[in-house]
Amino acid sequence: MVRKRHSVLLRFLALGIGIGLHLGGCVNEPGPVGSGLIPRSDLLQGDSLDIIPSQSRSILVIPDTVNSLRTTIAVGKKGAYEAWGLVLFTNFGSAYDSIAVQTAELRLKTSFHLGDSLGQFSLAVRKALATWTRSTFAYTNLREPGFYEEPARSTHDFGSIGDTADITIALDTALVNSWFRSDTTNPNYGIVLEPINSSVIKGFLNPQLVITYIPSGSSDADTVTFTPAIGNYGFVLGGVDTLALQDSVLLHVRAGAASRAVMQFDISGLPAYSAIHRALLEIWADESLFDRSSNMQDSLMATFRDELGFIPRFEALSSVSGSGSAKLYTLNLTPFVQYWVQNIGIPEIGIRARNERNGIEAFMLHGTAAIEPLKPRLRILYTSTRQ
Amino acid sequence: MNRQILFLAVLATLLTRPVLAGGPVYTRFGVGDLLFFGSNRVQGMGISGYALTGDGFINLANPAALAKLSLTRFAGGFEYWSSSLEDNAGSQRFATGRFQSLAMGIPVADSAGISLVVSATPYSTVDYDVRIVSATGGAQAEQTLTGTGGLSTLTIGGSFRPSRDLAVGLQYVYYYGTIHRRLAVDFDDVAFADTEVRTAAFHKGSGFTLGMTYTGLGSLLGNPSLPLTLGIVFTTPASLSVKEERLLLTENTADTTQVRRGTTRLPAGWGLGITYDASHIIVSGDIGVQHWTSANFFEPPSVEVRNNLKAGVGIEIPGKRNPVTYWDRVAYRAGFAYTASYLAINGRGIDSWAVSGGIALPIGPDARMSVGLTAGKRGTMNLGLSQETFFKLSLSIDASEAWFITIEED
Repeated sequence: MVRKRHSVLLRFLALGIGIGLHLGGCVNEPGPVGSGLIPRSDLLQGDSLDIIPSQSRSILVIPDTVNSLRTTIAVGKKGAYEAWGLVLFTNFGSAYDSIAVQTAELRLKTSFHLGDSLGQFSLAVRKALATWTRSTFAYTNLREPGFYEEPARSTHDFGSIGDTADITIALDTALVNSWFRSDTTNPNYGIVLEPINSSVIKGFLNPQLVITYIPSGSSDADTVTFTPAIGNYGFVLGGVDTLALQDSVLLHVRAGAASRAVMQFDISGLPAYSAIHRALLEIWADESLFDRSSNMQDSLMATFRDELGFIPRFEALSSVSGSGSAKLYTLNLTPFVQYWVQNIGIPEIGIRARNERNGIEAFMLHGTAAIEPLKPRLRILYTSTRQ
Repeated sequence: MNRQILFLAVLATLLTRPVLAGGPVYTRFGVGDLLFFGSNRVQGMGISGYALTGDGFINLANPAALAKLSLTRFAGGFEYWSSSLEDNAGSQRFATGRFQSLAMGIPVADSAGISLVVSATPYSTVDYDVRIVSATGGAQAEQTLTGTGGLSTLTIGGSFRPSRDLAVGLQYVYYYGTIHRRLAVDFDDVAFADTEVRTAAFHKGSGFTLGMTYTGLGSLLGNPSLPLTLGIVFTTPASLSVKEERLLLTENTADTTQVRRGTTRLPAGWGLGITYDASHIIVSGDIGVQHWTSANFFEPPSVEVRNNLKAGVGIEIPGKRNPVTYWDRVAYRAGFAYTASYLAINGRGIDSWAVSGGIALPIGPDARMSVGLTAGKRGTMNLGLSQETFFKLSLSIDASEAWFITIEED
């Protein structure tokens, strides 16, 4: 009797093992069977909404300091634009305290140009007389009386410069000697590179100060090269038409001397709790009105805004199509609108050049005051999830 | 024996095909599929248990049926459920395992038929997983709809026998459970943001079940020796409060702010059963109706709702009173059940039928392991509907313990 009961239990144990194996063979892959019974209202159907910004305007800003480090110096003139360079060499190290500089050169590597790349290029070297900070310094600050020394320490005429040429600028040794001395009455604010007699703006990388000096206890000259800290060189751009910012039809987006476009959107037409599948902002532009230095990429960036202002790292990069007067920039604002429908952030975006600090660029974008076909449009594909 | 085990294991492995942890789309509607579980014994006898009484099991279908308990009894079980769903889109297999019940019955005053019972059982189940490929806003997208969960009950009740033939019972039923739904939209084009919407509807509420059994039906019919038992059950409507939380997920955000509240009103129901209980054979038949047309759903089911009807008939060959072998103590069961569900889609009621069978194997002095098998079909392939062929294996264990029994000392 006991043995038989044992036998029955073992059979069921085997059945349990079989069931376990059967369940172990399950896969979790849904299929279409039964889909005909699903109410259509259960599915996301997708709807579309086009929104023209309720307002658009241009604003003048200090070039972006977050997304692009200033790594270039630009000097020169092109039309109304003029670029002035600034360089400050400091922190040479105690080994060079009070050395006697024999020769001093500023070496620059050509990187980009705006205008005729082989145009005439000349510059003057001036001593800066006041402090400057890369993140706040603008052309108007430069032109304030007393910012730089009169007259210029030296002028240099280079004629034409090749697109990848290195140039060498001989610096006043008395000036450079003063940088190696701690003289509080003659502080080191660096030098200003002023464009003169130029028909092109040239951009440069890797500024270097090369000096020769006689080390103590030696009769032979030695050569040493210094590079400035990242924050200690750059350029400012003048000749920008600031009145253009009042333009109600065209939005002025610039790099170099930065200006941005701001667009506001009224998203009340979107149902609450909408699932945003895609939101593309289309902006038309007239390419014939553009200026762009040779190092710039043809793209715009949109920046998200919250209560504290624009968030530099929350951005969308445009794609571009068309050309001439029918150039179209498309920005994918899907994440932006996803936040807006949840009342996160402010439905307003900033539009800027991709690299505001290291080149010169001017976009002319059609704003909300443009004729109907050229108005910017935010095309949204969404589904209301409230059923 | 080891060879038998090996054979069954290999057979099960060979029969294993990939199946889906999901279920028929019919569970999408209302509160899902209703699960009528009285006990494994009731399941094996075609879900006919309103008038089924006895000392050896806990009948959850009728609280009055507990009046015959003489020992504290425990019961618990689970089921393995497998089905194949077929429609014009093809066929698909599903399988799942789920808890069936947990119950304890305590005889308080055996002579007066006073017993208490507490139990936990599923009331309904939602279990589907469907994929639809469609153009959403001009872009091709795969939408996957999944539903899980359902309602369960916690009950506490008791029975009382006011006269030799009549027993009455009352059960407090607490309904609770969460129905989860998920819609995931996956676009083919990466330029579109995928989206997922999840909802969880939390239900809770309570109602009552009243029941009676009457064993003097033979006398009423003029034949006192006729061992007929009448069982009647009435379930009150139950209003369930529902709180639904909706979560919208995109690639960048999650929104939990959507909360809705409402009610689902489960309808009243009644059932009538008759059992013929001779010592060597027991035959039972049931009919039960729930008035779902008077129900109120938190989320209207978007299909026609009608009254639910179930009818079943079953037979049991109980174990012999004076067994000689182990198999003399085994009970055998069979039954047939027909259910007209509360759903009608495209003008056609979603009905099902099933045959069932089972055995109760003694595994101790007063303990049994019941194994039930049910197979049936539901729905039709006409009118754009789906037909389900299902198979269910249930396993439960009943055992007793001598609690609250006063033993007189010499």
